Amino acid sequence: MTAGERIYVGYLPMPRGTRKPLLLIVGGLMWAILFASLAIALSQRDPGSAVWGTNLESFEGTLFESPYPVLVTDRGETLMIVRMGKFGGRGEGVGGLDGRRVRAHGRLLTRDGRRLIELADASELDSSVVEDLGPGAAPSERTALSGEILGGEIVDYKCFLGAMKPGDGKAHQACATLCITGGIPPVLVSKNDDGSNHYQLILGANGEPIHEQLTGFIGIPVEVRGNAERWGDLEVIRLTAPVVAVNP
Amino acid sequence: MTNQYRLVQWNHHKKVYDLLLAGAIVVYLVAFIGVSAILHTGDNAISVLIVLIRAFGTGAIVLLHVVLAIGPLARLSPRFSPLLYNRRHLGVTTFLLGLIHATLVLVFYGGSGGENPVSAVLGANSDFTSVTNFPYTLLGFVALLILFLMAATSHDFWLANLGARFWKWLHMLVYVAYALLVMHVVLGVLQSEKSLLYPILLGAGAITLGGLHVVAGLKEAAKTRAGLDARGEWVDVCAVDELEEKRGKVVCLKSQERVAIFKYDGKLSAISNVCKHQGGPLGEGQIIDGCVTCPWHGYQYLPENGQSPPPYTEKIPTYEVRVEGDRVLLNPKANEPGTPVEPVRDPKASES
Ligand code: FES
Repeated sequence: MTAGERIYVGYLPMPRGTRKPLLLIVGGLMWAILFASLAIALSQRDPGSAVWGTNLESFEGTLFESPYPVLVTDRGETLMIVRMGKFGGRGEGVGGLDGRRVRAHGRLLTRDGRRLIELADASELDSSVVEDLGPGAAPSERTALSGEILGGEIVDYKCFLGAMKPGDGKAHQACATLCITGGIPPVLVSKNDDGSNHYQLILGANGEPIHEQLTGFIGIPVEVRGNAERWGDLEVIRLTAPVVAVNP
Repeated sequence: MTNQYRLVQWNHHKKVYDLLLAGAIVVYLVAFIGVSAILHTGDNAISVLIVLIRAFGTGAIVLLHVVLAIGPLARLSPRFSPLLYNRRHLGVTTFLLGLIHATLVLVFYGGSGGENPVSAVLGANSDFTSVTNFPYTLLGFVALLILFLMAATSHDFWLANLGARFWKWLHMLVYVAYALLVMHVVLGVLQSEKSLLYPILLGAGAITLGGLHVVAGLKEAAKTRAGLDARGEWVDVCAVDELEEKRGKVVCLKSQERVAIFKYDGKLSAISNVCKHQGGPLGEGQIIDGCVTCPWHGYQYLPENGQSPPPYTEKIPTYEVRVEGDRVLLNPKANEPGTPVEPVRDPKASES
């Protein structure tokens, strides 16, 4: 602003001398805003490679209801079963089919070679969502593994396998808690030596579902104590002590 | 106190201001979404809604930094005061971005389950003693409430009806909201997003804002310290020649409100330096159409009585001035707001 020139007043025409510095200021601000946006967006972590299939598919195998519904294929692959939204697979359509050979219809979620079936909505099908095909195979063999204290993060299996990306971490805590209390299997994800993900289904001491007790420990670094076991191609950990949050 | 307020005039500058603001937000969002989509593709793509949650949340915080920087910048240089003119809209927009962020969180993270989304998002944990597990969503929620309260009362109608003191106090809560939001980020998403850039950016933002406020505060404090001793009846303020035609001079008095002296049409008048609106420095304003005009939002006062021209009803204190030789003397005792004071003649003007 030069001497003698009018000051800037919002409701009057802009004086000449105000225009240039103001343009510089506004231009600078715009650049700063663009820089902030790029810097923040560029630094986001990789959510991991996971796919939520869009096609309806059919899967055949033996259904086991407890502790969480799974379908074990003839090749011995364990596919967890969940429903649409933030709900586990138990209940309607699945109940009463324990140990039966079934055909289930749904969509696949896949990560690290692990697969999970999100059951179709009944309105999408002519047949029932889970069809009973007769007597099924025996449950997979169970063997004890070593490892008592394990560190990692508790996530819900559905989001982590691709329903949300990222499906872990503190920002996802409320969602994972809702999923787990809704009956979606809780899984402890830790890192193998090569940096890959290690999955263990979390169960109570007697192999029962304990999702209610996990609230408050989901989506954050935790330490769990328990007995690790292998059930077919699935690893589980039966907790022998309450979960503890790890603080820095 | 007055129950009158000025209608927000929808003028050209406000339109340009709002257009630029909308442009800045579009630039921010498009860049954010674009980078996220280009960098994380195929099976590694970030969920679209999560990208939006992040874009709106971070956008609100970036804009809040701008809102908070304008005040001290305008105190440091009048070049920044045009940004003050419509700052209200920046604040309201910050709230709206935060509201969109929170709504998306409720729908995406809190929805589709067996619980009410609000309690699902706010009640996922309650460990107030833990760093990793602090219920950070509550911090964001309280900050959003504060921003709402401020956005809802930002209109001059509320300034007039709540009273300047209470209104100012209410709007100081923006600093509480800022602090809550920093903690919301630190105890929330930064627990799992490990890029060092995030704490660096947050820290740089806090240091810049803190620095600007300290520097602007020190500058004001220095002026007050260098203020004239106002104990006597008349204080020698400056030479008549130091006053520019139609311009003001801010006179700092020790332990008193500042005074603005104006020279116009061969006369001298003094009124309070503090604008009734939001405390803008009237002495840095100018006489336009016969009125002292505030450099911040353009409120006007007649120099001879400190009253806003009708239909407005604001009144500010007036002061007596005298000219002795070529010196301007000021009586530091403030008159009641709106008291008429006969302007003194500028002897130089009558000579010429
Ligand atoms: S402070 Fe707003 S017009 Fe003076």
